[in-house]
Parts: sequence; C-alpha cells; structure tokens
Amino acid sequence: MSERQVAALLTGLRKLSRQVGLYPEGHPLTEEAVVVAFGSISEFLEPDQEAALTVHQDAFFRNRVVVPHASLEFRGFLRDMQQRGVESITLARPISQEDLYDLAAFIGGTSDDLPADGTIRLNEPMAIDPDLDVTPTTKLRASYGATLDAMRFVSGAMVTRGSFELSTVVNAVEGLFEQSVAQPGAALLLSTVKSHDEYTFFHSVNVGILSLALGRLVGVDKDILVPAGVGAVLHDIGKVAVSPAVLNYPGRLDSEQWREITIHPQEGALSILSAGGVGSEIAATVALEHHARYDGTGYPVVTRDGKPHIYSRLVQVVDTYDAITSRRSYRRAESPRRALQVLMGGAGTAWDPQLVHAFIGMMGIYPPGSVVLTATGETAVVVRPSEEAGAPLACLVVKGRDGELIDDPEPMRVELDQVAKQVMASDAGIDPAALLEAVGEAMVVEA
Amino acid sequence: MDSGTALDRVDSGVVKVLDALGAAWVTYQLYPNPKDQLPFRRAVETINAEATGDVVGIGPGIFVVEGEEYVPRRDGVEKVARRLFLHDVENLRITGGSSVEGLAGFFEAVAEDDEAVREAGGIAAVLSGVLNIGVEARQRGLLNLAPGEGGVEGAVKSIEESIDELDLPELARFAFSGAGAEEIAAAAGTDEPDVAPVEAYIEAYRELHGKIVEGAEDPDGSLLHGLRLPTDDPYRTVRSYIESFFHLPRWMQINVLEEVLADPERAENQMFLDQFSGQDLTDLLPELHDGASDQLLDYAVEAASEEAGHPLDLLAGLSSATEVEEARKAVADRVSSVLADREHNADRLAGIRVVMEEPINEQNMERTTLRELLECEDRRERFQRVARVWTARIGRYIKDGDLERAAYLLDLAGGEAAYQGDNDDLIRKSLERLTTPELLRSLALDRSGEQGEAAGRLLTGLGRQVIDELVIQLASEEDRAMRRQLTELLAAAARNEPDAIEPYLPDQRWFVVRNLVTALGHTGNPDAANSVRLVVSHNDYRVRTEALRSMVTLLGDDASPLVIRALGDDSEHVRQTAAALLRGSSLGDVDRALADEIRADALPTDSAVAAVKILAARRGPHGRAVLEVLAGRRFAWRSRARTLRKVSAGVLRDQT
Ligand SMILES: [Fe+2]
Repeated sequence: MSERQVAALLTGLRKLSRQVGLYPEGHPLTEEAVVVAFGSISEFLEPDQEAALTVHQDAFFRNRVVVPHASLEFRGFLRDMQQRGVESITLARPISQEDLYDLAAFIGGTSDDLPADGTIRLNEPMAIDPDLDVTPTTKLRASYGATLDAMRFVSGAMVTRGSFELSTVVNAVEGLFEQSVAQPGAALLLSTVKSHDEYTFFHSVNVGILSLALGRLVGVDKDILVPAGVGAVLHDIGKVAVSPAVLNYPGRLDSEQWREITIHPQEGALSILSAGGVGSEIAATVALEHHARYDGTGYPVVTRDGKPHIYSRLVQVVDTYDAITSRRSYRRAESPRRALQVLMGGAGTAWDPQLVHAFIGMMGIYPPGSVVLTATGETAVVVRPSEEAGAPLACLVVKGRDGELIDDPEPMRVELDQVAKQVMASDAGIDPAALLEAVGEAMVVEA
Repeated sequence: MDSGTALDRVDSGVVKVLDALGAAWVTYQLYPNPKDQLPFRRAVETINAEATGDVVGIGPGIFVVEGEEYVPRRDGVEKVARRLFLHDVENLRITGGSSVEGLAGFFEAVAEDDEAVREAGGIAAVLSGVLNIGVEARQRGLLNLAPGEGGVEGAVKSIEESIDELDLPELARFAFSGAGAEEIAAAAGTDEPDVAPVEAYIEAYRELHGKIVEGAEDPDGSLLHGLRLPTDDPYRTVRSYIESFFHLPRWMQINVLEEVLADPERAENQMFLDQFSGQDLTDLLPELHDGASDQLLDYAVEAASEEAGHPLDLLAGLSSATEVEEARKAVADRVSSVLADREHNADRLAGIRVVMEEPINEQNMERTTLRELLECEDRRERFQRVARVWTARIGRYIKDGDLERAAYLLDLAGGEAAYQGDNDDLIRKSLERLTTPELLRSLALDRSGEQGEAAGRLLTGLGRQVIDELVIQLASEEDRAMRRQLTELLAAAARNEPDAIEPYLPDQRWFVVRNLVTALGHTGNPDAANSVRLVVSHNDYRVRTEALRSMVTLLGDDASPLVIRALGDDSEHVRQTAAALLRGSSLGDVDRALADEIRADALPTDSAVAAVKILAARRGPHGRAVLEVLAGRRFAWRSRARTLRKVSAGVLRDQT
C-alpha cells in the first residue's frame, strides 16, 4: 500500500521540482504540475491527516515503514533530497500551495526558502529517527541500487559522450556479487522487482543477479563470475541507440522498426569496446551475442564457428526469463512458471539445453516471486526454490481467505496439489520484492 | 547573480539591444509618458543600429544569446525576459525598423496580464496589429512535435482544451488525462451485465488508438495538433487503457474480448490482443463462447508464427481449450522431470562448470567481436565508427608496447576481409588516422625477438598507409642507427606491396634512393626487383652498388647476368662489389652464367678478365671445364681472345 502512495508522492514532487526550475510561478505548466502534486500528496496522506516521508540509509520510509521499490525507482530524487539536506518531509492537511511551491523549489535547488506556512515541515525530529528500522536486506538493496545507478550513469554517458567507464559497472557488479553470496535467497526474490519507466535498467540488474546466481550454482569462482556478470548487466546497453518510440511501441513492429531493434547488440558491443578497460572483451562478446540463438539463427547475422560463448548462452537464458516475466511495452508479463515452460520449449533450439535445465533446477517449479492461490483460498508468495521435486512450496501468506491483506506475512508450506491457481503478482497487487523487505533473508530461509 | 559567462564581458550588438530594451522597459514602467524619455528613444536607435537579424532565446528571466545564457547587467533586462517568458515568447528576432510608437505598443502588450493575452489569442495575435516594433516575437507552441515554420502555432491551449478538441468519449478522456488502469476500470465497469458499458469501453479504446497510435505514426498530420504526448513514451495511455481490461469485472472482460475477437485483424484489435500474455489468454480461453475461442486459437497460431520463441507457442497448433491445457501440462511435466532428476542435475552442473572454467582468450574474443561487427554493420556511418574503435584499440596496444596484440588485431584488415568491399575506403581512412609519426617512432625503437617480429607484422599489415610517413622520416633522420631501424620498418611495411615505394625512387638525393633500395631488398619479395631494376643504372655509384646487392637478395641466381655485367661498370666500387657478390655466391648456376657471359663476347675485355678470375676463384667443376676450353683454344685471332686464353691458362696453372 505505502509503495504506491510513496510512488505517487515522489512522481508528483519530482515533476513539480523540475517544472519550477524551468518555468516561473504562475506559468500554466507549473500550475498544472502543482495540481498533479496536490493529487499525489492527498494519495500519500490517505487515510491520515498527517504523514512523513523519511530518507534514511538510502531508502524511503512512510511513517517508519520502509518503501523498498520506490527507494530503487526514485533514487535520483532520493539523492536530490540528500544533497539538499532533507531527511524528512512531514505533510499535514490541508497543504498550502505556497508551501508546496517552496518545497519543490527547495529540493530542485532553485530557492533556499523553506516552506513557511507549517503545512509542510522539513526534518522534524519526530520523523528523523536514527533507530529507524534497517532491514537485514538493506545492503542487498543498496547494491541493487548502486548497479541501477551505474546503468543510469553509463547510459547517460553514452548519450552525452558516446562512451563510458567500464569500471563503474565492474564495481557495482562486485558489490552485487558479495551481497548475492551473503543473501542468496533474498537476492533471487529481489530480482523480481520491475519498473515500467526504467524497464531496461531494472531488467539489466535482474539479469545480473540471476546470472551470478546461476554461475554460483554451477560452482565457478568470483573471478569468472564478475566479468560474466558485467556482461550480463550490460547486455542491453545498446538499447540507448534505439529510439524510445520504437522501444515503447505497444504492438507488432514493422520491418523498419524491427531493424532498429536488432541493432542493439552491435551498438552495445561497440560502445563497450570503445569504453575499453579490463573485462571489456567479455562484456562486448556477451552484448553482441545475446540474441544469437543456440541453433545458429538469431541476430546479428555473422559467420561464427560453433556456438555463442558460454557466458552469452547463460545470459540468454536468464535474459529470456526476466523479460518474459516482466511487463514489456508490447506484452504483459507471464508468470514465472510459464516463463520456465517457454524456456523448456526452446531448449536445444533457441537456448543451450544444459543451461536451461540448470536454470530450471535453480528456480524450481514455482520460482521465487510466484504468487499462488491455495485450495483453501489464501494468496501466498513463493519465497524460495524448493530443494526437491515434489516438495511443498516455501511461501509467505500475504492475503487471507477473504482476500484481506496480512500485515505480518506468515510462513507457510504449500503442498503442490494444494496450488489452485497461479496468479500474476501485479494483478494481485503484490510486489514480491517489497515483501522481502518485510521479512528479510532469515525469513526467506525459515519459510 | 554571479556573472559567469563570457557574454557579459562582450559588448556585442545583441547585448547592447538587450540592455537598451531593459532600460526602456524600466522607463516605460516609471514614466507616464515614456516615449519622451531619453532611454526610450535610445533603445529605438540601438535596435535600428544593431539590426542584425539575430535571434535571442527567452528563458525565465534570462536571454539566451548564441546558445549561452546572457546574465543581465541591468535589472530591467531580467524583467523584460521574465515578462516575455510569461507570454510564452520563445525567441526575439532583432529586425530593425523600430519606432518610438512601435516599441511603446510592444511594451503595452507585454505589460498586459498574461492570462488576458492568452484569452485574446496569445501574444503574437495581440502584437500582430503593432507596426515598427523593431523586434519580432515568436511564440512558443505547446506542441513540440510539430514545430513548423512561420512563428506562432496558434494560441496556447490548456491540456483540457486540447483534450476537448479531440472530442474523445468520456472514458478515453479520462485515460488521456493520466488515469491509471485501475481507475479506468473502475470508471468503466459495472457489476451488472449490460451491453452499454462494454460498447462504451471498446468505443473509447478505438478512439484512443486512432488518436494516439495512428497520430504518432503520422507526426506531420493534424491528429496530434494540440496534443502533448510524452516524447519518451507516447503510447503510455494506450497501454494503461488495455491494462485496465484486467481490472474489469469478469463478465465484462469476456464480453469485451469476444467483441475484439469478432474482428481480430483490425489494427486496434490486434494491438489489444497482442498485449495479452500467454497466461492471460489461457486463463480466458475456457470461458469464451465457441466461436470466440476458435478465433483466439487462430489468433494465437498466427501471432506465434510472427515471433520466434513466443510464449504463445504454447497455444499454437492446438484446436481446443482441452488440448491447450494438455499441452501446457506436458511441458510442465517436462519441467518437473528436470527437477526430479537431481543426480543428472549434478552431472549437468559439473559439465557446465568445465566449460565455464575454460581459460578466456581475451585477444581472441576482442578480435572475433570486432570481426563480427565489421561483418554485420551495413550502415556506412556506423561502419566508420566500428573501424575507428578497432584502430583505436590497435593504437592503444602499440602505445602500451603490446605489439603482439596490436598485430593480431590488425590482421583483420588482411586476408579475411570480413567487411564488405565498398567499405575499403573507410578502413583505409581509419588506418591512416592510426599511423602518426609518433606511433611509427615508437615502433622503430630497437626491438628484438618476438617484439621485432610483431612490429614487422604490424607494418606489413599497415602497408601503404605508413610508407609515405616512413619515407619522409627516413629522408630527414640524421642518426644512423635510427635510419637503419626506419629502413627495416619500411621494408616490413612494403613486404606485400613493394611497388608502393616506387614513386619515391626518382628522388634527387642519392642517399634517400639508396635507403629505399635497401628497404626494397629487405622486403624479401621478388616483386620488389621490378622497382630496383629502375635504378640499377642510377647515376650515383652508391645507388648502383646497393641495387646490385638488393637484386641478389631478391632474385638469387636470376640476378647473376646483371651482376656479371656490372663487372664492367665505370665505378671501381661497383665492379668490386659485383666481383665480391659473384665470388661469394655459392650457387652453381653462377658458374654457368659467368661462362655464358664470357663466351657471349658481350663483356668488355677487362670485365671478361675479371669474370675469368672469379670463375677460377669459385673452383667449381663447371667453371674449370670452361677455363680449360678457354686456355686450350688454338685459334685466338683477336687480342681479346688471346688475353682470355692467357689469363685462363695462368689461373689454371696457379690452381695446380
Ligand atoms: Fe536484448
């Protein structure tokens, strides 16, 4: 619940603080942004008269409840707030328009005046609490966020300079690796986090996490996995060269649009090679080959001896899984289980069958993040792959029999024959990754 | 405000105009009769004097001159900018032809309340009746998508007005104003089965599709006029709308879907269905009436064939909902069996591990990737970029002293010719950029062993591109050791194309020509002999000497006639060299060649005598036989023959 409220608030504030920097007070575009921001604040406050948004340890909190997804999605705004020394924003109905305007101008850096009417108050001691709950998965989320930042930085650098520093990504992936080792279960669950606005970035980090996880399962060392992970994270970087209108097109592409999409592997490889640095050869290979299929088809078309590199083959499997389970511009997400079935269907033709089998072995029949409806009517989220075939699913119950949300999700074992139906997390209004914050790695293991 | 830009130090004409406008504006505000005031008249003069036609951008309180922000020095300037900005003026053009009346009329309009001006049709409309202002205000349209020429795009409209103009049904309007999927569904859906909301829902979708998708595909058309679609994702609204389907009550979903399936070929219906996941379709399939479920299966077959590995594969080729379910179960069973076979799983992981732990050959990867990029890139402008990245990496390795790697990467330009022929020029251009004097000098550093060999391969690979540069350096180099190095580099560079040196052979400086001849000799390529042959009769004996040596190196035996003939050269130095070359040669055929030349009488007597002596010194069996014949001649009428008989007899006697 608070995820959506905070996301609404941050969207509204972000827009307004940008608008205020561009246009004066009273300009129609600013006015419009003010109206939107008002709406978002009232959504944020619902059902309270007063509520606080706090920044602590790289995360947003609404009234002491951590809001993990928004913390990743709105990292830029979080940084802006930190830069301006804003640790908390307390909002109290009815908000005055002047206060709202002052707040936006202050965070946007266009003014140093603080809101003066008392309806918006910054850094209230009540809200800033050093003992604010820091969940055990904070570090994992921080490294997820750092990798997202690296991607944002890299693609920004590509747009402005046509190049970037590979070390930025290498450092981020090393962090991701450390955290995945420390909390493997939580990492898998966190990799189900998605974003509409930054689909490619979140997708890239998820592919990174899942590639590292599969590599660890296989048993290879860090010095092999980090370069492969860098390739995984950067595999789609060439999408920067594809126009948003094509990337976001909601239907089937005509041949010209499709052609534009198919340049992204070569554009990615080229940019990585021109960046240079240790590991650039591997990353460029993965980027170039990630749409080259196992049976020799796919794109780009080149004369190749043998199969794509093993790292590329690994990334292909993981890429497909995360893409299918994500809501893309042209299609809604599939359930995790169905994504595995698609992989199975293409094992040996599209994808390396050994890697497909290994991946399915890692994810289990209902991969972490799957949402199931039990025969008794509860809604449960699978939080950990089962160790054995036929073993009951390790779940957390998030909705009771009458569909009521459960505040403290309870661990529960669900026998396979007790699964009535698989539902889409988004349709059920559940964010499995956010759930993780509420329970932490220990709970994932315990469940 | 801090003065940060260069502009505030430059008294350009534009800046003078802006300052003058600022002063005039202050005057206009302060005095009841501003037209009589000096600053006002001065502004008119300045505008007319500086009528450059320059365009000045307007920001909130700032002017933008030639892309740089002009930080106002006068209070009034900022105020004018702010006022103009409020009136949505995008830029001002300084046209000249200003009058006091005109400028006053301009300020009068600018001083008006911006809302009032907007209601009157915008600042451009208001100013259209004012003559002789001296500046032309261009109004910002709300639409960035259709900039067009000719200034004003029409009056500024609010979003509501824009949507109104589109004449959308209520639901579409709601979606367009940014409502989320759930909100749209809440507005559209009812619990009571009823045809009306279904029709309204579909109708609104069609309208949105028409306005947004078709409009976006035709950005020059009028559909988008007045619409502000986010440039990063113009289709968001359409997606939210389709997404709202999944929040509708079930009865409504089925009805809407059946309606859509009645004509799945229609563009908007296809887009609607395409948004569904395989899971969505499988869920809905059993609840559709027979006709619709058949249509859905047909659609799935068709959609699955459009895209490889499509999730809808699971539906394709099946003819009933039961079969779909069975097929899904079959794949699910295969998934389960993978999980069940744990033992095999461990083996499999071990197998993957072996492959993943194979050492990485980064050089190879790099070369393969670049080769593939050169191969698949068919856009010329991007090909050029690939070629640049490729040569930049070679350059980097040379600078770092990793000649092996540089040479390996450069090999791509050679035999394999991965790229298409019509891009040869781009490859050449990139290689030219690479071959700077610094780079060549760094190659010339004394290198031995593998490094030297790699330097050679590099130069051979670079070929023609470096020859110019090396010849120039060679001609001016004073250090002897360095000259020797450069000569070797030139030889390596010309290995495959020795004729590339030829154009430089007519050089006036004998030492330049000699070094080139040395390099030609060291190429080791017999084709180089054609170039050397051009200077075997060079007027400088030092060149001729070197040419002989090079010919022997390049042609071996075949050079013998030429060398033997050089025994008759005017220069003692050349004759001695020739003699030394002939004496030192261990090839049997030299004897025969000497004998042939002696017998053919083509040599002058002195040369023939020298040839006899060389033949003797070589002590070959063939040579001895020839000498015996010469010494035993009975009838030696001419003095030349007598001389040769005498010399031959003499050398034979010495030998025994
Ligand atoms: Fe991709």
